[in-house]
Amino acid sequence: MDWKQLWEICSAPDNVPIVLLLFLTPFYLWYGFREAIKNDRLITQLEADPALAKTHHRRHQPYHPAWDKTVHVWPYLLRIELLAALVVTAFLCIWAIYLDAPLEEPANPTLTMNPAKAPWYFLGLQEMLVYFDPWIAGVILPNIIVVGLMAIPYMDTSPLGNGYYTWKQRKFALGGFLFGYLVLWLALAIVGTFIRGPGWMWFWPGQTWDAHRVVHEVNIHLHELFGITDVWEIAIFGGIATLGFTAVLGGAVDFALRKWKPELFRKMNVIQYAHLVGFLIMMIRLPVKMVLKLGFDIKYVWVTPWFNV
Amino acid sequence: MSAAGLTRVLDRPVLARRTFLSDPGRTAVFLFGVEVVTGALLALYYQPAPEASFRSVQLISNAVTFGWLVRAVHLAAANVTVLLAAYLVVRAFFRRAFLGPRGLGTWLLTVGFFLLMLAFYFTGEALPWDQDAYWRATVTANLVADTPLVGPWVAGVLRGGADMSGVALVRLYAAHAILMPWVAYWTIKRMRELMRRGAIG
Ligand code: HEM
Repeated sequence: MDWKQLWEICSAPDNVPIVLLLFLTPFYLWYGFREAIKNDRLITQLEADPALAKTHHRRHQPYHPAWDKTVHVWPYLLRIELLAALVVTAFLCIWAIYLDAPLEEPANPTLTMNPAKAPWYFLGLQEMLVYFDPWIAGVILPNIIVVGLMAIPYMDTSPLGNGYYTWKQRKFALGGFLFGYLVLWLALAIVGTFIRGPGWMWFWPGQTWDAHRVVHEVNIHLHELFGITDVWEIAIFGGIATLGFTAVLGGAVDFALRKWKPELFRKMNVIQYAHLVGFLIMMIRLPVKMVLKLGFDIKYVWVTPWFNV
Repeated sequence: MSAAGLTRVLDRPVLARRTFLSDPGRTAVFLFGVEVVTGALLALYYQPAPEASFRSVQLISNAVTFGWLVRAVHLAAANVTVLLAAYLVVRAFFRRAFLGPRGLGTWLLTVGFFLLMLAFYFTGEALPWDQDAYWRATVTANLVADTPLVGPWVAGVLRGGADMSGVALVRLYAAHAILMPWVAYWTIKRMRELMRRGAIG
């Protein structure tokens, strides 16, 4: 184990937020799920006892009598806000003093440099560069993510779980969101921070980052396994493989939704449902592509003169 | 503000639990305020031109009194702002804050604020125009240029020509210090309006 290197990674100004997230995410997940389980228990109780449900509001929230107390802005609120502002400022100063802002050599257009790592929140997208064409990873995927995030309220319209934590009533929505957040964002950022060394090479934890290590990348495309050589045949083969896989995946998602979430299927209109299935397909495809590349060295499935997937 | 108006604001009753730390949205706005103040201070010395830019940041870091601290706080607060903005999105989803009459607007603004902070960070990181910044901007622009149809045109606008040029730096700076603060101001303002009407807890 290379402790010195581990410390260098953890204390690099760019990486500190990831290290923070490593602690904050489990804490808030624990907190959220603790509240959710509490509420779920209450919901079960109320469902079993309709008489109780009449008198008990289902919107149970952690409640403290003192919280309803109102106070004047001055001095109460301003005092607290001032104190909090001081605390946050002190925190920022300490962070700033220990992790000074870096500055490298001046820009030199004649000396090509492989830019180091993207900021921590873009590491997931940078990792995608390994699996997709640059413009797909850098332009298409971010746009899908943005649109997908913004579309959530249009797809997730059930009134249950509004304003209180619950797992029972929202398993599917929360599961999907957590998959996106934990696997597609956080896990990839962690890989980008701790696993990807110089030149974006893969180093196992503990391995020393040797910038001069030579890796013989074996990259095969799926059509090469089948010995297809003609450009057009390659494109058609890849198209069938990719679109066929997408169709099968879509069918599977559709089947699973109808089977396990029939009420969801019934409530949605065609447009909502199509988008839901579409976004789910996208989210599942990313890890599939990663497994193909990392596990089987298969770089592209669909090679055409214009784009590769 | 008139004296009566001031008294009204100061005497306004608020829920005792509506405090700073129980309300990360406020913390995020405060941090954004820290960014505006430190950013304005940096802008006193910063020069958005290829070689001058690097020298001015060097000056800020080495010669200007407490310049290094202002710069480091600008970077630290930027990181915390992005973290908090992401947290606000996750929290809004878990609480299903996007339901209700104003929920949709709240959700779009929350996601928008997060994206805006990412854009702030991304443009800000390019400003020192050191090797890392220059090549990162180049790689990003090339990747945009690869996009079919609109890519080359958009990349041309970003770069200010066929190659990465000083114009690109000025545009990044204009976006970072003029355009996006303005958008952020309206986002926060709109958020506060929604919040006052009780849509966000
Ligand atoms: C009105 C608001 C702002 C102004 C006037 C401003 C101004 C500036 C200036 C002049 C610089 C160049 C100096 C330097 O590189 O150290 C800079 C850098 C930077 N800004 Fe801002 N900024 C503002 C808001 C923000 C916000 C909201 C964020 C983040 C979420 C941000 C993130 C950054 C980052 C990451 C850098 C690069 C720091 C470095 O490595 O040197 N800025 N900003």
